[in-house]
Amino acid sequence: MSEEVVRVKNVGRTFVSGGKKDRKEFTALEKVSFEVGRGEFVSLLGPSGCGKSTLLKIISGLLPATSGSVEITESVNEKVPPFGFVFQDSVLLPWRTALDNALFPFEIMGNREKSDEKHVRELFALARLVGFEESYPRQLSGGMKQRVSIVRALSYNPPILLMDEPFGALDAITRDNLNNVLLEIWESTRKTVIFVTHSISEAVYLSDRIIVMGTKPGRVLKDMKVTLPRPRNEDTKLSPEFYAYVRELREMLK
Amino acid sequence: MNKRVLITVLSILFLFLFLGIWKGYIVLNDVPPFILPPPEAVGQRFVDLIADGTFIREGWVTLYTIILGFSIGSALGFLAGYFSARSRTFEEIISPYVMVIQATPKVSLIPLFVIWFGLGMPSKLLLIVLSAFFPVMVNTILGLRSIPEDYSNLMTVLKASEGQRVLKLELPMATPLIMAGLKIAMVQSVIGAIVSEWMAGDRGLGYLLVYGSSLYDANLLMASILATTFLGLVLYWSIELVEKKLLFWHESKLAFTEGT
Repeated sequence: MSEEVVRVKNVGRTFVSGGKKDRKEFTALEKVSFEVGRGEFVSLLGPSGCGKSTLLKIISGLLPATSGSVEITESVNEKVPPFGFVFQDSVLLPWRTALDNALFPFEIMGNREKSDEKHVRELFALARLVGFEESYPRQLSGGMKQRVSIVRALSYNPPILLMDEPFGALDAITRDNLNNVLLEIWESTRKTVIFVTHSISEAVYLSDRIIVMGTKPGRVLKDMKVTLPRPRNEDTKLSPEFYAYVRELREMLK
Repeated sequence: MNKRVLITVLSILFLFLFLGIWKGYIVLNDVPPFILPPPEAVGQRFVDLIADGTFIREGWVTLYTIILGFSIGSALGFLAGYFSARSRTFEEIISPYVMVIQATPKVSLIPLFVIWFGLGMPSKLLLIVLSAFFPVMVNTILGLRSIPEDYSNLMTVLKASEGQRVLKLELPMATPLIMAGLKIAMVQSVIGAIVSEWMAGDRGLGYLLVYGSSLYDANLLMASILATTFLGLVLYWSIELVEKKLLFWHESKLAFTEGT
């Protein structure tokens, strides 16, 4: 593995609900540990309730861990987070055009430079969005909105990309398309990606490694390397090796 | 003939049908004009009252009161809504009182206001402020609360400041519902102004209504009702105009802006 940039150490997370009398504790994550190397594409795969989204929120600092720690050794500077975050919904601001949405992070960080718009326009091209820069979110399809949201997450050029079931709400055909767009973007930017999904084939198709997670409590079942050759394309999905991975994971998650 | 034109023509015909039935009823039943004046007399009186400055003068008093009361009431409603949405504790403290005052028909308070503040501006203003306050407050809370959580997470990831959160995310996101609240508040303010002028006024279009009624001048009454309606429409349309400008991006308005 190349240099480790994300270290998750013994992370646990407990949610408490109810008052003094009916206090209930729910362990969402228990002693989760793994590392992610620079430029790696790692998926967190598991059924709903395994805490994979919670784990991603802890990695990004959106949620505190109850125990353990997360260390991110990449840094840009104080104002710029070391990661971009893609949510399940595109969360675009509906009163801004696609381009203005993608440039939104600069407005918040107050560090926009002349070259930034050029960079973002290049990302639009990579995401096959040329011609839609001035469209409003309402005028874009679900898949296009999610591509704009990926461009926004990469706009300030963070070394890490965190993705929380980004294609979960899309139909299967659009999802396959976006998988390929994401792979192209990744091949040309070589970001470190942590990708949360509950789709076995999506995880196999995209990842260098899959952290397989189980429920009750949420924990790591297996840390699995995927050695399918790159660049991958639709033919990859027809190979016996691809099927072998899918079958093994399906057994494991039964 | 295309459908649009047909609809317009039928819509205008409908007005003439209405005026015709009105006139016909008077002629056939020999209704005395102090009970129901004919449409042309009401129209004539309406024009006269504009020409002699009565409607301009009294309408201005009503308009001025509405705008002042509406502005104060919706500003306070917005602030109360904003802080309630921000802090559960604040909301829990004030919510029982809000519910009680909201359930009270505001009009029933006017006699009390008259005892406290006498006839005229302060009583009128207070009623309008109360009428505008609640719709704006409730809709502001709803607008701010219905922002999906991941928008807020996005702002956290981008390390947005408190001010950026409010100005760049929360206010624009809540605008559709706040505008809806302002429209209701405007309708309520007009009602509040007219009713308070009946009961506590010495000026204004509402006062003209009471004056017409006391004189058995149905003609003056109907012309004044027309003037009141006109005022209400103009105020409502001005808010809709602002809404259309602000919410060009919203789904309910997009049909107007796409242009294709």
